[in-house]
Amino acid sequence: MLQAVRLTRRYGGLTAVREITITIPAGRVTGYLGPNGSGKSTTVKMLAGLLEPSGGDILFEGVPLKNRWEEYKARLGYVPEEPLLYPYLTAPEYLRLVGRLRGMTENRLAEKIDALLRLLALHPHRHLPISAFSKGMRQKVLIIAALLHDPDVLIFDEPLSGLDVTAMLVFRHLLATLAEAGKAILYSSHVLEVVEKICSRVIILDRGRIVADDEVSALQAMMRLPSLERVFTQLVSREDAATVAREIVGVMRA
Amino acid sequence: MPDFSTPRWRVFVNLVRHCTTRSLVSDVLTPQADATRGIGQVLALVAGPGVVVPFLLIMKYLYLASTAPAWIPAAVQSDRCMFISYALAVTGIAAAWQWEALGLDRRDHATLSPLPIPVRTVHLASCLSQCLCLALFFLAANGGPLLLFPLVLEIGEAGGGPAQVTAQLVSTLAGSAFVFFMILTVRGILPALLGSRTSRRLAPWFQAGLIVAAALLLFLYPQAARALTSLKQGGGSFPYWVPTLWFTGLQEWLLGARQPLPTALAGTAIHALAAVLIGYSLTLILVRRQYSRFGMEGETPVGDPAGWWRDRLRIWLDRIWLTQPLERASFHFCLASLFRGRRQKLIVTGAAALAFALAAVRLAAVWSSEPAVGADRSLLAIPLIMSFCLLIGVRYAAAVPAELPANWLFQINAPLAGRPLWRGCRKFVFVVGVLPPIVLLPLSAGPIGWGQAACFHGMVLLLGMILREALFLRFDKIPFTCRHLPGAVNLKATWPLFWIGFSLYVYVPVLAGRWSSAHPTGWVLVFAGLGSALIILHRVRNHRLAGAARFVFDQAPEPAVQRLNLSP
Repeated sequence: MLQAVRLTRRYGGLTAVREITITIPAGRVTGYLGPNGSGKSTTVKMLAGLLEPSGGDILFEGVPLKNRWEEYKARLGYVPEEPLLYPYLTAPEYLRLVGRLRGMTENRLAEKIDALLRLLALHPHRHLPISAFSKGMRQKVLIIAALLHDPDVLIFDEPLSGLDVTAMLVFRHLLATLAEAGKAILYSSHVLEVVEKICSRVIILDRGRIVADDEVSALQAMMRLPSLERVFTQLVSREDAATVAREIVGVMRA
Repeated sequence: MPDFSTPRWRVFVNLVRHCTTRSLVSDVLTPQADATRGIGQVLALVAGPGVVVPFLLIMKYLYLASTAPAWIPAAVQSDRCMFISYALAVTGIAAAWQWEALGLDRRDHATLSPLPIPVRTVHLASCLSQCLCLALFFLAANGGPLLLFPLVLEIGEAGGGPAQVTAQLVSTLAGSAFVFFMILTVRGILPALLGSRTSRRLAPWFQAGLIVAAALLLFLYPQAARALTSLKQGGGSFPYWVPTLWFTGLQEWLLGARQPLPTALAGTAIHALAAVLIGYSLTLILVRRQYSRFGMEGETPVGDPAGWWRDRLRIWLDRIWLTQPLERASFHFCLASLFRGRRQKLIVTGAAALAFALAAVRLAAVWSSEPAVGADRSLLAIPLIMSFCLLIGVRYAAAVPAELPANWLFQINAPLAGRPLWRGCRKFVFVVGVLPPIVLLPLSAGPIGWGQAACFHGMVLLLGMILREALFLRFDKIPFTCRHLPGAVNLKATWPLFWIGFSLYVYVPVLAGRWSSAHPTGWVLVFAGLGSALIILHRVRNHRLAGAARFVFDQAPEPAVQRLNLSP
């Protein structure tokens, strides 16, 4: 459903993402992994339309997005890495703003907001400004905002940060249900255990390049490693974690 | 073991430097931008008149010395009063503006508490930094007059010399310290009296009130100087209530005037300063208690749960006036950002405060029955002053972001074409900038009658809408979603344009109103002319939004971009 072809992003002399080609098919959850600074968030921002690519194309339903951004964005739901919200608005006010910007009718919007706030346990806090919310509560507001208009493409950038265990479980089931409903989902995260459980396929990025793109089981079989964590470490880690830890303590004691 | 051999005094100096920097770097002036440029511009603006005005006075004193030497003492007294008014006004406005930044806050507590620095050292550094800020404001406003005014008096053979320098230094410094520490005392007492949440919510209104008071001290100095002269001739007790005159009296007393009036005024000045300093010292205890509570309490949310009346009003507005979802989105977003954003609210209330102060000057002109200015002209100018100041304030506030990193929301969700979104913004500016002067209809009805006043206010509304279109003509953004660049507008160069614009906006319509009320077809011609201008501006704006120029939603720059250091 969504494709990036030879997608590149440069910041001056620094190339954050280098000619990557990925496909996010409908009906599946695609995991997107990479260490800090690998270009993960830059890719996600380009796919969400927040950042203009320096090169390459983004295709939606096989057609380049160049003149179809509005149509694409109308069918996109996005949860950013940081819960960046307007802190002086209440959750319903923020969600009303999102719904109105998407042109939703007032009655439908009010019903949906009310129902989703109840389902995600935010209804008792509906009169509080977002500045009083915890990180997890802000994350829930973002998740509701992304789902409000029933989008076909969903991009989640670290959506679980700050969520409590119950909300995490709900979210995992929600992703599976959305995938069954035919949505194309890109799930970017650092938490390998969750990605392993949720995603059928993973893309691993390192220093702006794709180093792996396959089913989780296929990657494990190919590299003869028992877990996704070991696969990830093998592909992108250049230092032994235990050695680094020992060196940190050495510096502390110096 | 690690080496912690840094001397204590060096830690203290660093702490004072930190407190002074954060006191000067207000996020009102410089949100997410280069702080030094914003502060530099403001200090340059403040220092400018202090350097220019003494040069302008040279001609006056040379002329008086050659033609009417008997008038020189009155002129000198009036100018002393002016410079003291300027010192008090600048310090008052600066301290009221920097209200939040001048004291320690939750961020300081979070940063400094884990460090091995005693709390009393932190407070001492904070007090010292406040004194440094006072010194900076004082030097910016009074550095020029302190050096140049005594020189001007010497050239004009009106006195001057080291005695004038000393008396001016002491009196203006005492006056500035009085205003500065009074504002800090109010700032320290409020949370203890009202609670931190309420005081935070009410702070912009207190700030606006203090800005009005400070601006009035400056704008009403001619009346104050005249009152002082009349008091010397046996007038009423009015000057005892005006701080400017206390410190003018102190200056004259320091220059050797030992008559009862300067002595009494100097005594009042000294007592007032002492009272304020005692009050300030007592509030330090309250401030210390409040600082220690920062660790126990969570962040106090500043926001207002929806009230029943506000909900009803919102629903009614949505049904009647804001019929489309995009209109509603931008209108309600702008309204909430203005009324809940501390920076934005302060800017607009500051503009309203300026309007109030200018209106008070007009009213003072009516009461003093100046022959040069008709009472009706003075009263009719007030709605126009209010409209101009509010619209300029809203325009400036609109360029200050509410929460820049949250703008991704608009990039993801809003259509790029701006027309439907702009309709909501236009209605927002109408509500907060164009409509409010209508409350002054009864005031205008006094001199010209209700019918003519209604026509006049119709003209004020049309003019407001024209000014709105003109101010926002090239503003292809949703208000409060822009990146704020304080250096982008050269205020030093553009303020004469604002002044000319203000004069035209305020005085020409008053003349047009008077002319229209005297001619049967006058109002028809005025409305036809203004209506045509408005329609043309509307069309230009809509054409712009429909064409190549599309809405821009600024975002915080990427970290990688910030690190490039491309600027020289």
